[in-house]
Amino acid sequence: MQLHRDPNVLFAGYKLPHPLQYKILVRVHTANQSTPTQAYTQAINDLDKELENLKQAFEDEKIRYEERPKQGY
Amino acid sequence: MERAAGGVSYQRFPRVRIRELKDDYAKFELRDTDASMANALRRVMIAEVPTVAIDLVEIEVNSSVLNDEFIAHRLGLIPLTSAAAMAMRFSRDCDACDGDGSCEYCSVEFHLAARATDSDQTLEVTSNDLRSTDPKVCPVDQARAYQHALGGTEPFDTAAAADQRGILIVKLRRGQELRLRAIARKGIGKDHAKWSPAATVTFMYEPEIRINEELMETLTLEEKRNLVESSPTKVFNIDPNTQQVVVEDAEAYTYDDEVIKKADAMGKPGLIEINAKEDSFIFTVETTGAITAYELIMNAITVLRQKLDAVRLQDDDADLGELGAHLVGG
Repeated sequence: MQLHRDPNVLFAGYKLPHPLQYKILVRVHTANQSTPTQAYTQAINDLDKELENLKQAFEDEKIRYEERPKQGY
Repeated sequence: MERAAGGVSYQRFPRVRIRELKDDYAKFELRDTDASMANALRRVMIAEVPTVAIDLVEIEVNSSVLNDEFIAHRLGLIPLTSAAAMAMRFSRDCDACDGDGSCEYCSVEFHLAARATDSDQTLEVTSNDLRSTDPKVCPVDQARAYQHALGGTEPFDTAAAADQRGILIVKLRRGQELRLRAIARKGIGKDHAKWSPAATVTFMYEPEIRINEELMETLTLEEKRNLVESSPTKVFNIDPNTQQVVVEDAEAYTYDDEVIKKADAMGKPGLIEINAKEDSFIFTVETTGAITAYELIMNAITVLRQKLDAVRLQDDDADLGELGAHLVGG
């Protein structure tokens, strides 16, 4: 999904050749402004940053949530 | 291999709003992300966040009516306080021990000894009879009783009293005895459901309900009532003052399409439009008590990030082989 957000990615998909074999093939096809490895690494970095950001958002929101009763909500 | 230097970022910045947060329950809104992220979180919470559970049982004496493996299975299902589980080692990759027995990094030992002596009453052996060798890891209701004795802030109600009886393991008749040693290990729900910290984790898309007010004006009060009644859950209501149909509780909508079908049947297609917001989710998380709901969410994010690290391309990725050469060449 993250790869699909990249306009340089023409095709991105995965397949599980055999359900009992723990091997997944990822196919990435990009336009010539990018390379598949670049797009792949970028997508993972973006997801990692999104999760880092989400974690921070949760921590902040927890503090805010605990403050709410004190402010007479 | 080239690095992703200068790559353009398509990162999202999800927003969170907590609606309710208790020890073992959380309800929150997650916005500005997509279903793949929401579902990944849900699945990791259920099956990949580690906890501690009894995994190895050595029975010394068992003259109860239940057989050894039946009791071992019941012991495994008792939720244990697992706040320390993230920092523990899996016994399979613990190098301080052979992975079979007890070492402080990967396992916690429990003892249980119960014998029904003189009285005619049956003796109930519960999780309260389990004696832990590590105060950080114990059955969750023992921990709760301990907290209760310490703080005593919350009022003592009947539900709390029922909790304190512990989880029943087996009943013993006069003369019967149960004595055993159990080893609890770290594990994940994917290996066995006993390690799952989640009781339920669900998410729903936030519905967006639009009423065509112009078309609605053409309805009689009776027709409006029928329309409101046609929804199996109480989504709509009629404003007693203006007699207009209003959305009372959008989240009660179960995507059943009943009101839309009703509107069509009344010959008013497009009267009500309901769409799922693709980037907005309402989560409910319930835990077994092994870890708090907040810990579960945070640990799930941590685990998901570890999984991302596992699928990163290595600079010296030998597995890529000819494909790697092809990629660089291309």
